[in-house]
Amino acid sequence: MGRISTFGQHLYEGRVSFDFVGRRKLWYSISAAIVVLAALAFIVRGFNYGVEFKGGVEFTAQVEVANSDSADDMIQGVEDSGVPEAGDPTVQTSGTDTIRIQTRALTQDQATKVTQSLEAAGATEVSQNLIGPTYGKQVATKALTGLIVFLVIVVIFIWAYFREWRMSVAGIVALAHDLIITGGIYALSGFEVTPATVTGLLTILGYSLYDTVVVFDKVRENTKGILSSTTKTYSEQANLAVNQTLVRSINTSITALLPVAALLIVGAGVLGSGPLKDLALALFVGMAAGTYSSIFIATPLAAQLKDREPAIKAQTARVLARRAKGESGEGVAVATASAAPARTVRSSGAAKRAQPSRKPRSQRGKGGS
Amino acid sequence: MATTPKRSPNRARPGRTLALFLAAIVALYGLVALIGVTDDKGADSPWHPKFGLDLEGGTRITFQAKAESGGITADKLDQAKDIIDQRVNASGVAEAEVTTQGGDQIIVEIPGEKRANIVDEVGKTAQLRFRLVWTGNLASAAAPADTTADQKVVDDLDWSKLTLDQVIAAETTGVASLPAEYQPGIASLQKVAAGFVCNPDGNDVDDVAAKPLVTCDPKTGEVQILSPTVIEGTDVSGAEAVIPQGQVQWVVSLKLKGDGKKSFDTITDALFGQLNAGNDQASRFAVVLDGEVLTAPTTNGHFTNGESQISGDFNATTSKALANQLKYGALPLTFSVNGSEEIGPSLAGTQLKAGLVAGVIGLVLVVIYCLFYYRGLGLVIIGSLLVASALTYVMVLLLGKGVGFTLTLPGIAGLIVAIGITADSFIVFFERIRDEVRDGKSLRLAVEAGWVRARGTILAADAVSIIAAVTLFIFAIGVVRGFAFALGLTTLIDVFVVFLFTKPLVSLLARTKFFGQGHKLSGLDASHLGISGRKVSEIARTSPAGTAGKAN
Repeated sequence: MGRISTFGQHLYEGRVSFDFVGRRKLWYSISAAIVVLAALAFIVRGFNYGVEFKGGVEFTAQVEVANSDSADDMIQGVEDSGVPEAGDPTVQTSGTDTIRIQTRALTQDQATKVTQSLEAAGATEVSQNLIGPTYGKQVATKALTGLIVFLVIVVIFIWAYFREWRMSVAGIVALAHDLIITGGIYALSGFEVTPATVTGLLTILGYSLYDTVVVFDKVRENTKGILSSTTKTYSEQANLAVNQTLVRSINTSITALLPVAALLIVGAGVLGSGPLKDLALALFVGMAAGTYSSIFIATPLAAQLKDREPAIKAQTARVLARRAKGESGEGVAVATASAAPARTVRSSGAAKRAQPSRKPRSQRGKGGS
Repeated sequence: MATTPKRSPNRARPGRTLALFLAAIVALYGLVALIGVTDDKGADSPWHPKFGLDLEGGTRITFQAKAESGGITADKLDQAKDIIDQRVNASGVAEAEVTTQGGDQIIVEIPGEKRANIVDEVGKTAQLRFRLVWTGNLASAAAPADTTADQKVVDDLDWSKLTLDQVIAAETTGVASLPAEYQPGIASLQKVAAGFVCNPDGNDVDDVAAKPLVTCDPKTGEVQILSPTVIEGTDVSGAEAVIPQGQVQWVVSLKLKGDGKKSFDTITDALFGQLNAGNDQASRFAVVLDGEVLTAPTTNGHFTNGESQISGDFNATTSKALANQLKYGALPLTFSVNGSEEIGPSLAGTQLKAGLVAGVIGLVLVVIYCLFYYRGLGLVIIGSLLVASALTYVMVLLLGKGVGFTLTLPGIAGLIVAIGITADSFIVFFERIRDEVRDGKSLRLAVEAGWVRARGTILAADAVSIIAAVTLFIFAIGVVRGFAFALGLTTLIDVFVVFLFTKPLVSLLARTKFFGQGHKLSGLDASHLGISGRKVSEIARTSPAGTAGKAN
């Protein structure tokens, strides 16, 4: 553990630094490839919609032991119900004592008949969920409306908070990135898409932006007064911010994913298929993508957009020109660094906020005492 | 900066904040206890959260208002909700809850019972319409006849082109007065009527407003051929069972508004004329509820102001029933069944157990990780999570009592997901503290400086989370809302906990020797932070001059 903390210290001071912003073309390419793959998967395979989106009836039968024998009993039960519309049902065991049976759309009376027939066939308890054909569409329509409203509000919020439309844009791009990837994984894996999945997707919206906001907040802090800085460019400061929040990002992802993983395991293991699993799966994939995009997409993109601003452009040019000139001076600094690393890194000022560094408290008190 | 302030002047008193916050939580629990004491004996215990159907078992039916039934307004939906509520109660189901949702849906929830079979009874379209009796007094057929072809002839005609006068004339002067193109339809109607069996227990008739209708009065068995609708039930503005002054017989007073009032004026003018001419049958109009004749009185007056009275062989009960049917019988909207769900108690039990197990596992995993990584500070996270859990639980209890918040499986999922988001606030805070310590601040100062920086980040990030929850809550339907509510609730609680518990607690702890001087297990020791060559507490402890000398 100590090693990770040391790593955190090094990241913070800038001794160890990953070039998230500078090598953005690489990250963009990786993401673009994944997004294209995800989109292709979606086009080619499409979603495997759950019964909620198609309309139909789902019976959940509790049996003594859920195995292929009792599943066959249940199929027989459906056939014996004398409801021809319920023919050719989809049957799957789920957990140790539950069998799920999905049929096409039935009327309430027909569904009741099937339930009775299933009970006669050995089910100890039958739950039924009759879903109208428009239900799934409504969920999707509402979700889409919610999505649009949410995006508008969040764009305004981020813009108001950071006073920076570029961050709004970058945040939204990262968000779209997460959603497309999650969608692609669903298409590719054939996981069932249910209203619970949609809930999960909508939650990812919040989480992905939540994560992005934390990183952006550090970027803002690091780039305060950047225009008067002569040593650091905006992109470098942004990159430092990502590095400085990297440990937080890792910790947050782990603490966020742990409960979701618990949901997923319990949802899939105890309940078999069901809303808990659907929700957790969408969250798991989306949160992982969300962490990735905050670091590799949102911040580089925000920095890239910001770099186009004339004032920032000029400042960057100044810094680079100055650096080119003072090449020899830099060498001296490096030499000192090897002698007393902790102090030199601190005094270089490069690794921290762009404000003029104050003397440590220990030195400040001198005059008074 | 000539002097080193030992303590910043505006330092809050963390101990007091902490005590007040904990006292507030205890007070909330006290409130729950108080509710338990004052509640009626029959009421559910306030110490149990209100579980949704998926965790308790029961029936949920979702009715969807059809867009084609006219503008769906909140008023109409509320009215429909009340009517459906009455019908649910009438069907003998106790404790059903009827609510509107999403601006166009009505949800019926029946906890603990599998009663999806009431769906037809409760959700029936129930359209109240006024029609003229073109032909009455027909007898019910002995056996049903297949009249599909004839019905098709009727359905294929566009009856809506008929004017009100033409419709009235068809009654007053006979159906032969209708334009020639409608005559095949009339012939077919007569055939349909001839094959119509009147079932006293209810008849399944396809009642289409703009078309004539063959139906019967199940109370009397009289089969009638009725005109297209002349007045819609929604034009009924009031109906009451009364005994008019100076009389002894119950009547139902009926009030019409809008177009219905105007049409009623025209209709009663013509029909009253027939009554005066001694032609009783040609003065009748029928009130049809869901395709069945409620009553088909003769017209004994010309009513110009929309107010009239229906008299007949009424007693107090039957007149009130008719008045209620006139008033509430017609749902202002047409509904389709969007879904019905029956959840058995053992499935519900399994789901509840799974949700709780997942929650406990998730919490334990997070706790282990935090202890592993943050060591001593991990204890603060655990404490904060426990306080957040306690606060969440009491809020779930109170909101269940107060605004009827029910905990559903997605709701529990929302609470579990929120563990991560809550823990993140602490992580942001702690990472900032550690950053400040790395900058060379003493822990006490690092806590304050780190807090100032973390505060903004936490608030901004939580704001995004709350925006997401609120949007989700407003735009989602069904169980998704439970999830959104839980997420929003816990995010708010997170803000309270981190401001009023975690921060003061860390401030207090920073004064202790264990944390303040960077004990090996505190999570703030030099080697754990990766700082080499100096102790965390060094700057704070050693004399200014000494430190400066050593460092340079």
